[in-house]
Amino acid sequence: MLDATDRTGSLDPALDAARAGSESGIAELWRALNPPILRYLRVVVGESAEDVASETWLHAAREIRQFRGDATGFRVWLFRVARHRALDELRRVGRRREDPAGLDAADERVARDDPAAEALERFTTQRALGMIAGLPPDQAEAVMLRVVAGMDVAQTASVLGKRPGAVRIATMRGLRRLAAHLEAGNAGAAGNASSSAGTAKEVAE
Amino acid sequence: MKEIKNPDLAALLAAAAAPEPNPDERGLEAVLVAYRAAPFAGPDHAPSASPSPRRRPMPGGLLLKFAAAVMLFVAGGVTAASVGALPDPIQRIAHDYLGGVGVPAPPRASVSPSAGASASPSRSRTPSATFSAAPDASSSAAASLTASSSPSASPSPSPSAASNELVTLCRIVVQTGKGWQSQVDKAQRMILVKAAGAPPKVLPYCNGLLNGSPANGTNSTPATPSATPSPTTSKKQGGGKNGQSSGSDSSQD
Repeated sequence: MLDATDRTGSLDPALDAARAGSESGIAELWRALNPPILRYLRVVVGESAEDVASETWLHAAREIRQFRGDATGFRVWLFRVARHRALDELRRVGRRREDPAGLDAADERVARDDPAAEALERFTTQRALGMIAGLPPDQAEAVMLRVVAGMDVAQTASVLGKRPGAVRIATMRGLRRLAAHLEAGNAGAAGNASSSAGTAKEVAE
Repeated sequence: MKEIKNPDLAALLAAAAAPEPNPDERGLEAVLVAYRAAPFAGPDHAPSASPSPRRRPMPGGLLLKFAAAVMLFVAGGVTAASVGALPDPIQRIAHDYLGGVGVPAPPRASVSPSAGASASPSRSRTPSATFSAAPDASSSAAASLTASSSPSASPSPSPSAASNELVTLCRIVVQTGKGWQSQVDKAQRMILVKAAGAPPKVLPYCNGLLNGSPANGTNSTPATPSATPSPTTSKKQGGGKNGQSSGSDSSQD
């Protein structure tokens, strides 16, 4: 899996171009960063993700010329903006994430399907996001930022406004929980529980 | 980040991070529009953590242009007034206020007192009626009378002629009584209604006008064609009564 630096290092010229007034620069940033933003928001706010992502980018488009830093910093800043907008949206509608049953529903589908057929489409993106969305909010956000957005612990902590240690713990717990759900859905795979716990710890670090 | 050993978990996370098969670029256009509309900070712009205040070059420029336009308008107006090129009512007002600096009275200065007396209780009301189309009936009447007198510079269609017409119409009204509307045409009816304030007030207004004691009319002064009061007298006489009557009419309107 790519690191945040790997993913965004090539975006420095695009960021410079956007700051200099080039539309192609911000378009490139949008094409590179909107998909992970959108997926993160789908986990946090569900079906309002596109609206919140749009607000996030409108804000970014207005402020990018004043932004100082490299592409990695811009990525962290952008996710922070997205998170604040998402929390505003959640406050506005007066609820937390709307799909607490997403994880269970995904498990049911996995358990019912034919193991051979499900090998190809076992984890579509939608289903994977649904399972992550079923985690407790802090764990889901940590997993999304660490694994899906590819941020390191410090960057994730900066986005979430938490200490790095708290981010590590939330990520590890989230991954363990996901692994446990996957194993519960896999008949005959009982022996993997200890190894999945170990892998979650590795990921969290 | 270290590699995940659990294949199922790895597959799930890979699916969650998989690239979009068909990226949707519908939102990009809105972002570009916002980007174009955003204020531009040049490369030498001082770095700051917080967004810099937006530049506002326009308000100052607009203010300057507005001030220049006002000055040009005022200067042109004063120049026109000083050569007597303004329409009579405006020239009269300009003469009242700027007579000390050489603004001449309109050519029909001898007629103007009666015009002022017949048109409105005070001269200062005439321009407001002329320019702002005030709802006040007396002002409207004054405006119509002034307008009828102003188009030509020849002395014949003077305001006093308009007042004479009003008196003539009033005579018809008084002679006819309640059926006066059938005896006049539409334009004449409009003149009467404007002068009186409302159709029901026309008859009392005309009675008062012809008897020399305009009590109910909104535009109580327009009349007195025979009287050629001096401006001072007409102001004093009309001012008291008319101030009250026009005030009440304004409140009625």
